[in-house]
Amino acid sequence: MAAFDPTTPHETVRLEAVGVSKSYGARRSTRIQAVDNLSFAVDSTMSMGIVGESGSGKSTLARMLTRLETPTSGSIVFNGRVLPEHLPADELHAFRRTVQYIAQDTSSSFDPRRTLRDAVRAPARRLLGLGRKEAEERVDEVLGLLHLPVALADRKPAAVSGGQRQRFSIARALVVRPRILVCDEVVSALDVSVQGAILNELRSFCATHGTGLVFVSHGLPATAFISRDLTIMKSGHIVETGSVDDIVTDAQDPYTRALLAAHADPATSHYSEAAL
Amino acid sequence: MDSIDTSAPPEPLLEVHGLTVEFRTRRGVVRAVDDVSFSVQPGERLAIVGESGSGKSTACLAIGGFLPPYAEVTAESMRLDEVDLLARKTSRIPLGTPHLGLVFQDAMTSLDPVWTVGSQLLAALKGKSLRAGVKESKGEALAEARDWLHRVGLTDTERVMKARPDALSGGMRQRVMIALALCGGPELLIADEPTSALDASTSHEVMDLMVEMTETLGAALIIVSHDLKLCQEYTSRMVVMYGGKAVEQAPSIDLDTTARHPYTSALLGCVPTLAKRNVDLLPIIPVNVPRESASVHGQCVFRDRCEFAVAACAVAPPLVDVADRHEAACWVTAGPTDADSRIPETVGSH
Repeated sequence: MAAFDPTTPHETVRLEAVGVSKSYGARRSTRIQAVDNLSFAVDSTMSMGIVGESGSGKSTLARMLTRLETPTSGSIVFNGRVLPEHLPADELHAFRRTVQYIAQDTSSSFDPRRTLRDAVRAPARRLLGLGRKEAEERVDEVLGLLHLPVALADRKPAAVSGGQRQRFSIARALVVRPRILVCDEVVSALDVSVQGAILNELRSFCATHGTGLVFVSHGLPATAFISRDLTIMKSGHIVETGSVDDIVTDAQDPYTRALLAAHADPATSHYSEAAL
Repeated sequence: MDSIDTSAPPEPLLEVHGLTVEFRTRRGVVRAVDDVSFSVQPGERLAIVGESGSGKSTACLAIGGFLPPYAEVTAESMRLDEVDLLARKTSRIPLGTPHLGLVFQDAMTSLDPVWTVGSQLLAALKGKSLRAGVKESKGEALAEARDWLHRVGLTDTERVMKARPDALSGGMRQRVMIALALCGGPELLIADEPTSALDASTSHEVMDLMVEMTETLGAALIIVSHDLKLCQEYTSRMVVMYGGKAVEQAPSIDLDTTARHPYTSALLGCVPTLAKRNVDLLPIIPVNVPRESASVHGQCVFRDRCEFAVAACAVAPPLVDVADRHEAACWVTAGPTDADSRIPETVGSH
């Protein structure tokens, strides 16, 4: 195994997609090109928002970055090393300690028969190799961080609200103190008041722990709040990338302008005229 | 958008008075909707907004008669056109309710996964012709089904007719749902979170379509949503629900400046906007507490999260007129100058 211990906070962790493509469907007639020859890079000092409509390939990109999906072509590069298709277990664990993924749909991302505490504890035990007692301490610490009542953790996933379940799924990712966190539509299904609280907590965690963030969402305003940089995707391609301020105030691509117009608020309403 | 009729209101199409829905569970009675009243004029567009658990969907399901048998629906009156909705048997889901069409949030689970879109449309059209007592030949029905798909903007009709719901995108499925809901010729369309599963630009397309279709057909529209901005854009009036209560009813357009209930203001403040991108913390509504107990104990439902709460809030405030066509239920912010006089003496202020 290449010598890296990315869990030391002062070392910058870098995760790249180099010329990746992904297509779904076996038959040529029904094949869908989700991501098309795209390159993308983040590191643990960045907070990158990926915005696009459904079908733009943003979730596929996020899943390829986190090794939940294998690219059809192209490669994922982790700290300068091309990750092979099959990683030995110890290297995969090292990768998962460093890069964590949070999914939108929390009702299907928990084992319905195990308590939420079990779910949050599992990565601490298996990925960090902590003893039972230390793992429990870690769990309590991360629950406190996310303002989750400890009593809730003894419930099954179906017995808590959607917002609380999403907090637990964030807790499960944060319990290993990842260096890069990939969030796929984590607040899209939640009420605005709950969204705000979760975004605030995520942002403060990333700031205090030096964790890089990839925030995939179709909600431009929320993404603009939590990220410093933005990547706009459309039909498997990146159409524009830059700092949030540059994109919001001076978007170059017509598609980005149209997206901004759909979210127009008084401060940026001149885009609605530009789009017409 | 400018369908607001300021002349003397005609007979409302839908009239709901004192609607209460209770669920009997093992842990006791949960009052999901508590004494909610509103009305919809023919052709009007009304929004019911609130967070999850506010009872907005339950209220609409009660109107549609889609609640399970263990839900207890009571009301002083609930009437759609000439139909008394309380007299209807709710123990069984009616196959296409006349006068009323429903669109749900998740078209994937509300469309039948094993039927093609065409066969589902044909079934809905058959229900309509059965009610009307006319016999429609298969060819005519097929032509009508295709026509409906065209009208909701699905141009590739042959493919869509033969497709099962899983082969369509979220936006296309929602369009199919709209066709299904409207093809029976309802006078009222209730859309429960119609765009929550869609992204921003698709949800605008779907909303535009629903508004356009209901306008063409002269049907009224109730949009149930947690998206305040969307509701403001597409409806003329808004009912804000919290903890099963309607806490404010107001014209949508200028709610940003006219909101009188602290909950409405707080909710509006939470909406993420591009302008807030550089703030340190997004505004939130403090503490999230279980709420169903509040209305049972007779106190204001928002009391525990409200920054303006005073002693008087131990008694639930009634909805009172605060402006033209604008009602709010709050002792502190919704009263004219004589607010104190309306606070029951037994409680006293502060």
